[in-house]
Amino acid sequence: MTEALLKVQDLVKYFPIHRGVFQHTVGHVKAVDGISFTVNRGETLGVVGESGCGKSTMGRSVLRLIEPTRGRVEFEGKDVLALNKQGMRIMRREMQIVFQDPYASLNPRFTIGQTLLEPMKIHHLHNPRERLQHVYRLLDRVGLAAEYARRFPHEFSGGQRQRVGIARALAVDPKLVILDEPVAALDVSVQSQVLNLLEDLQNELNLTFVFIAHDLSVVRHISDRVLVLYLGRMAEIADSEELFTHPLHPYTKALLSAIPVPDPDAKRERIILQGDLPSPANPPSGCPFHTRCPVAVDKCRQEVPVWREVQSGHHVACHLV
Amino acid sequence: MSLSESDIKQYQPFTPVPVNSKKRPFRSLREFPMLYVGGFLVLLLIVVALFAPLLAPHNPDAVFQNGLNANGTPIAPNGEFPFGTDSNGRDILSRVIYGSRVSLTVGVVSTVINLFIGVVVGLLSGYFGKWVDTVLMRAVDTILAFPFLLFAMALVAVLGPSLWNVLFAIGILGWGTMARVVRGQVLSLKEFDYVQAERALGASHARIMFRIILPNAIGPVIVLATLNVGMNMLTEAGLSFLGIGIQPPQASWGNMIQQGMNTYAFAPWTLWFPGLALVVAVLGFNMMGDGLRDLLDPHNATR
Amino acid sequence: MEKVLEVRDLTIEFLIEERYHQAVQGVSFEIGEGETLGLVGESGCGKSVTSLALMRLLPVHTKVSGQVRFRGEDLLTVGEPKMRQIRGNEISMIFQEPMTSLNPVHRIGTQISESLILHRNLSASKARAQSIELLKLVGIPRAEQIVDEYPHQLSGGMRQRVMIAMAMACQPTVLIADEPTTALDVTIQAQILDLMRNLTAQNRMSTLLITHDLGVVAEMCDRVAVMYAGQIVEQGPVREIFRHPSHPYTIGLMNCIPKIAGERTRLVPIEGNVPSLQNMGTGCRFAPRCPQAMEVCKNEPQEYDVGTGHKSRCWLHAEAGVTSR
Ligand SMILES: Nc1ncnc2c1ncn2[C@@H]1O[C@H](COP(=O)(O)OP(=O)(O)OP(=O)(O)O)[C@@H](O)[C@H]1O
Ligand SMILES: Nc1ncnc2c1ncn2[C@@H]1O[C@H](COP(=O)(O)OP(=O)(O)OP(=O)(O)O)[C@@H](O)[C@H]1O
Ligand code: SF4
Ligand code: SF4
Ligand SMILES: [Mg+2]
Ligand SMILES: [Mg+2]
Repeated sequence: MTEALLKVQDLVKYFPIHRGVFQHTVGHVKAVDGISFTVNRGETLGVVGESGCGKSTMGRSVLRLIEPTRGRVEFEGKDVLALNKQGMRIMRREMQIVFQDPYASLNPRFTIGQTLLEPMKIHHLHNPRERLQHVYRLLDRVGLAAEYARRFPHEFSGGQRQRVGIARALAVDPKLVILDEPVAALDVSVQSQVLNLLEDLQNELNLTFVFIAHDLSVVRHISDRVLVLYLGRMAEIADSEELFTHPLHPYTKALLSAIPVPDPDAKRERIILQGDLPSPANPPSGCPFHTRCPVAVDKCRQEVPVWREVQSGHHVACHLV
Repeated sequence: MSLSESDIKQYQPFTPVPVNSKKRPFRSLREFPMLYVGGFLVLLLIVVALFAPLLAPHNPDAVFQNGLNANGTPIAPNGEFPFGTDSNGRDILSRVIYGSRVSLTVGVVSTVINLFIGVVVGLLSGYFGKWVDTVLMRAVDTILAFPFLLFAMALVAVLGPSLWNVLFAIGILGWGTMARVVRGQVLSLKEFDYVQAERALGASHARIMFRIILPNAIGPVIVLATLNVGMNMLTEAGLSFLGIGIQPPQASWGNMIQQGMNTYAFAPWTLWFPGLALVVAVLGFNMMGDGLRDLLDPHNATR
Repeated sequence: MEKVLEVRDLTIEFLIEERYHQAVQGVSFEIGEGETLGLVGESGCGKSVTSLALMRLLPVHTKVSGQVRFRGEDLLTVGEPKMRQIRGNEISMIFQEPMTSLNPVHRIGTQISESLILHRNLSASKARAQSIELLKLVGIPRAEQIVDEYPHQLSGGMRQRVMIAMAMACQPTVLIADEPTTALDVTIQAQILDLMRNLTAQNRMSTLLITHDLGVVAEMCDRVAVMYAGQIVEQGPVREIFRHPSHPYTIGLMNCIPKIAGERTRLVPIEGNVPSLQNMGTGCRFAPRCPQAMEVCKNEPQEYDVGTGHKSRCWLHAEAGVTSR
């Protein structure tokens, strides 16, 4: 269970900012700025953080949909970033992605069947007859009727499309699936259907998930461990229960306290953050959170806090912990 | 899940089934008048060009003994020569009919060349970006910076005037706008998650460009290509008018207009009919292009 | 408590493919002075359409029937000039999308001043000073500079504050907030909700808060109306609804949201999908998805009282004692 499947070390992605007629580079958006983590086989790592903190960039960099600026990504011991074109093609069968927007993630000109055949054609898997069988198996697995194979995406609801997106990712039998906010666009009743589906698939197929989300209750529900990002950097990582019961980083605490709880009698201490939201193009010196941190001290403005293990498996980057 | 043999046959190609049969495949004339009128004119042109030998009352190149008045002027439209004759005593109706073949050939074939170059350049440029984009877009800027007609004239002058050289010159020079439009489409489409999903699956660049992006980008390209046919027809007429296009005695609307200029004062029909044919043909393609644009407009699509 | 806004039997029909379809059917609720009513339900159930009907902002070719009584007057029948006076002055609205509901070509100050000049007859300079005050009130730093900036220069959270400032400008009697925090991060959402809570308490404002987040409802509202497929299926005081949900849909909603504390259990989803406007069917609209559907559910259920001020539209309550308490 504790065998590492994916190892990410010091992942960095800077997007150049171009200006002027000659499009020269005037700076960088530091979307991901030194992220390291490990995902064990069969587990779900949740990744949370506010909009623009670099969650999607991180996920896409791991898959090399975006070429990271530097860092190291290891999958089953293989250095992913060093792979050539052919090696990468093979690697893509191991790692797949499910996208947030169910309306933009399916080709409007392909029927659902064509969409699901595509992965097998690309990788020359199975003979034509088996491919069809496989398409129906996939549809069945994600709870869609066989006749949907001949329909177009626009005839489906968001939840049904998301099921197709999941089926497409599973078509190549991957070991790791990166889920980039897979339920964010769905209604709660449909969201729960998809979450249950993901859990079932994980158990049946022994999948490993990286689950990106901004809804903390969803992350808690599905994750074994949770990584909290802030402005492209890691704030805290811990086992799910540990993180939700004993958050250490002031940002994590604020985040948890801000979740509206569906219980009118819940009495809670709410930490309301003040201060300006920093931009990843011009991150604050020292601790990136110091502009909004309610307990910041002078040191925070000058020194970048180190990433430390405070308890077994519980890492945090804060001077005051 | 197990499937019977017949199940598999039934679903074999994943061809779409029409689900919402209530949707009307043909839009009404009231909704898209331009499309219908333009389409009718274009269809008319194609029929005329295709069946020219059957439709033309005379041989277009034949000089008729009775084709000129006693004083050597062209004959006005009458029963035998419905559009009258030209200064050589040839039947204008037959020449206009045969001229449609030239116009249509040049218009369509040069557009196909435009389309081919424009689509490839636009796809590569938009898809790969970086230096590929810079180089190709500079090329597009350059080609668009030159006055098109002047450039075409120079090229035809070098190659020598003939139908195929005119066609080639227009084809090889007129793809700039096409490339830009395709590039714009590709730039926005390549950020779509379904394109990203294809990348994540390990599809080759060629597969993504031609199988995924191109079919989704094709709408505006078709509109532009339709408008382009009309434009290229005009260019051909211009070149022929200037004497460096289609050479007499072969009939082209351009060189007929040129010839008609000389006799316009006393035989206006020598100018009118080839001119009218040109206007109607170009108008047809333009209206059809505009109509297609309306049809493909997402705001209309949902109606 | 005095009723400020009273909606009776509101029905809204849209013209789709040459036929009218009911997007909202027989909706009734009231909001008392200083009270916050939550309107919850999933996407497409008719929340926004209901709120637009109150403001008379629906597109033409929309059939609206019923009554919207505001201070004894039926807003559905008053003349347009009168309505224009009410909008933005007596009843204000905050829209769902902070990105698109500000005009990108006008300065922030100009946009806030507009309604002050229009409804309060303030001079331009007075309106500007007032705008700065309002921006400070909603907690925007550097208010003196922000008044002269354009919407694109602000973050999502700041834009939403500007929207609130605009809505508050004329100290309206009724505030309609249509998913005011859905597009925002939780930490920013907490700030905005905090702000709204303080402002409504200060001004004794009556609020209609539209959301699909039960957490937000629990925190902000005095009473709740749960909407499904264009109808209000359950309505009551917030504590009643959360402690004793009665309608199978409300119970389903509560069971399918992941919890933030306590034991992690498997979610119990509501199977199936929301019916579309075009094939709503007859009888109880929730029947195709309802785990307790019965033969009688083929007929339209009426509203039953299941507690003080607590109503539920379900046949289960017809036979006493069958309620799912
Ligand atoms: N292609 C790009 N070019 C330039 N900047 C980019 C690009 N993609 C992302 N960014 C920037 O990088 C930062 C991180 O973006 P990212 O999409 O990873 O955030 P996220 O955490 O996924 O946010 P969200 O929750 O909104 O999806 C943002 O500031 C964004 O503006
Ligand atoms: N102008 C319109 N014409 C036709 N149908 C409409 C129109 N506006 C809304 N509808 C339909 O009315 C129904 C209710 O829409 P409404 O916008 O009120 O949903 P909502 O509850 O606000 O959902 P969301 O949570 O997504 O905002 C939907 O089915 C919608 O498609
Ligand atoms: S290092 Fe300082 S600013 Fe950063 S989170 Fe810790 S206390 Fe706050
Ligand atoms: S009326 Fe019947 S179908 Fe409708 S909610 Fe009640 S039990 Fe379910
Ligand atoms: Mg993202
Ligand atoms: Mg809405």
